[in-house]
Amino acid sequence: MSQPDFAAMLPDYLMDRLDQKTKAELELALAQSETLRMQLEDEKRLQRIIHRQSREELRMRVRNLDQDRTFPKWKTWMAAAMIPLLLGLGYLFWTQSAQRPATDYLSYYESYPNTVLPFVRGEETEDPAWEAFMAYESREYVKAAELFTQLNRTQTKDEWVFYEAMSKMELQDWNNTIKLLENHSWTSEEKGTFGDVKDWYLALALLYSGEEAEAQQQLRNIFLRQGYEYINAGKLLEQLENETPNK
Amino acid sequence: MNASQRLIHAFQTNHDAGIRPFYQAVKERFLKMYRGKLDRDSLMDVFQEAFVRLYEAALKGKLDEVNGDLDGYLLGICRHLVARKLGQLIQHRTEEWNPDIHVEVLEWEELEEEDVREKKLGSAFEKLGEQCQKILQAFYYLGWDMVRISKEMNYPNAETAKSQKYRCMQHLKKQLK
Repeated sequence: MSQPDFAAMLPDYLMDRLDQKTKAELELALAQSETLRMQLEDEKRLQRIIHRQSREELRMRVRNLDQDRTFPKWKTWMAAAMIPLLLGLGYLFWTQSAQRPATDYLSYYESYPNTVLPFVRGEETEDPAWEAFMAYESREYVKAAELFTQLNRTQTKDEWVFYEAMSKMELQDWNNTIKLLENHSWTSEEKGTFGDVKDWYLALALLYSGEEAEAQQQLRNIFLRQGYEYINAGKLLEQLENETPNK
Repeated sequence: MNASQRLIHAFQTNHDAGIRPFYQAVKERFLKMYRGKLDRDSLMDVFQEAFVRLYEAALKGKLDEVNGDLDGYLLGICRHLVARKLGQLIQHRTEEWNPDIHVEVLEWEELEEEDVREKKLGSAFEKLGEQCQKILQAFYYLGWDMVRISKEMNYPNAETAKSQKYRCMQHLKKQLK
C-alpha cells in the first residue's frame, strides 16, 4: 500500500478538518519526519501572515467607516451645483435603460475568474498567453480582448476562446460574445470544462442582447443537464417565464 | 430578511452604505455608556477593535448562530474589551516590577531569522495575483472549505478550486526559492 501524501494534508490539519484517524496518522508522521515538521511550520507562518494582512485590511475598512463625512462649505456649494447635472444624467440613464429591459437581469452576471494562470506580479515570462491573462485579471478588458483575439488567430484553444468571449462580455459586446461562444467547436462539454461553463454565459449574453426566447431555451438546457450554474439558470428561467406569461 | 440578516449580508458584500448607520448608532451608545471609564481615544480603540471582530465573525459565517440583535452582540464584545483594558491598567499599576514573572526568552538570532522568513513570505504573498490572494485568504483566514470557495468565488467545482489553490501555493513556494 502506498504511503499517504502527508504534506498535502497539512493545510487541512491546520484548519482542523481531518478526521480523528487521519489526524493521528499525520501526527505520528510529524513526530518521525523533520522535513514534514518544517513544512508544517511554513504552513503556520503563511496562515499567520494571511491572518495579519487580512485583519489589517479589515481595520482599514472599519477606520474608513468612521471618516468625518461633513463637507467643507465650498464642497457643499459644489455639490448643490452638481444636482441639476446629475438629475439630467439620471434622466438620460433612465430613458436609455427603459429601452433595455434585459438589464434587470444583470445581477445574475458575475465575472468569471482567471482559473488558468495564477500570477506572480513582477514575474517575467515568454509565454504569449501570459500577457492576455494578466490583462484579464487586471480588468483591462479591451487589452485582454485584443490579445486573446491575436492568440486565437494563430491557434484556437478552448480556454483562449472562452476568455476572449469573457473579455467581450465585460465590455458588454453581447453580439461578439455570442458569436465566439456559439461558433467555436469545444473539445469537451463535460462538467467543469469551459465547454460546460460557456453555456451559462451564452444564455446571459443572449438575454442581454434581447434574444429572450433563445436565452430561455439555453437556460432550460442547462437546468435539465444540471450544467454549470444550473440552479441560477432555473431561477432565472422561472423569473423570465413569470414576467412574460404570454410569450 | 430581518434587520440582522440584512446587516450580515452588508458585511459579507462589503456594502459600506449598509453598515455605516449601524456603526454610528452603536458607537454613540457605547461612548455614552462608558464615558468617564476610559479616555475617548481608548474608547474609540476598543470600539473599533470590537467592530473588526464583529465584521470578521460575519465574514466567517459565525453570526448565523447569534440569537438576538447584533447591536447587543457588539456591545457585549465592547464590554469584554473594556473590562480587559481596565484590568490591564490596574495590573500595570500594581505590578510595575515583578521579578517572578516568567518571560519566554528566545535567542536574538532565532528572532531575527523568523523575522526575515516572515518578511520574505509576506512580500511573496503580496506579489501573487488578486485571484491567488483571494483564494488563500478564503482558505486560511475565513476558514472556508473548497466547496464553499468554489461557490463564493465562482469556480465550476471544488476540484477546480483546489487545483487553483495548489497552483497558487506552488507559485508562492517558487518565489521563496
